[in-house]
Amino acid sequence: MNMRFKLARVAKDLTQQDLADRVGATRQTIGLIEKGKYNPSINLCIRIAKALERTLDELFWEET
Amino acid sequence: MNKPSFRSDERTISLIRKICTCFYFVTMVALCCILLYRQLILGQPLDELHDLAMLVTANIILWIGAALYYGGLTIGRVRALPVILIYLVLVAAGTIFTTWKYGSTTFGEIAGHFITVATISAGLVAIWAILAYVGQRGMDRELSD
Repeated sequence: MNMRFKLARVAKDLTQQDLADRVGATRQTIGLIEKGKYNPSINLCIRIAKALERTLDELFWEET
Repeated sequence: MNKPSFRSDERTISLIRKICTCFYFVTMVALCCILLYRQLILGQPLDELHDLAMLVTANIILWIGAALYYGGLTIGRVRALPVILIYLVLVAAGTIFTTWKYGSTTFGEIAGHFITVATISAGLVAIWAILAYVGQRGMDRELSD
């Protein structure tokens, strides 16, 4: 579960569908990324990061 | 503004491609099974199976060619030894198969099959080697840009 991703989206007051529309993805894809069940391409990650005004690290980096 | 009913993104496109690959494989296996069933169980003459056999053969040959060209099958640098080995395996397998298929017993018939198979295999391997070489050249050019 990618909670940072979900929190960033909620903080921007965006629904999954809103974010999907902004980044050119489907709502299901956004949902699966939030659940950690789909690994997006780096291009989609960048579009999401720009849409949420966050860095890639803030959204996707996992400390081991 | 109405949203389109069907939307796609990288995940859906990737899924569709996986499904297509899976069904292509199933179709090819099913066609091979149909060929064997019609030939061995129903005892249909070989002349009636040529359309399906050609379809399956052409598909597999083109699939290998496309995979070599686009780098789906990475074989490294095209070298003579592997190409010759592939050629010899194709010729041996093809000669054995055609000898069995046509029930040939005389040396003349088997030699005839051998010459036909060797010629077709040479063309096939040459085309595949050229496609692999041209594909590699293209990839090298892209990487050097």
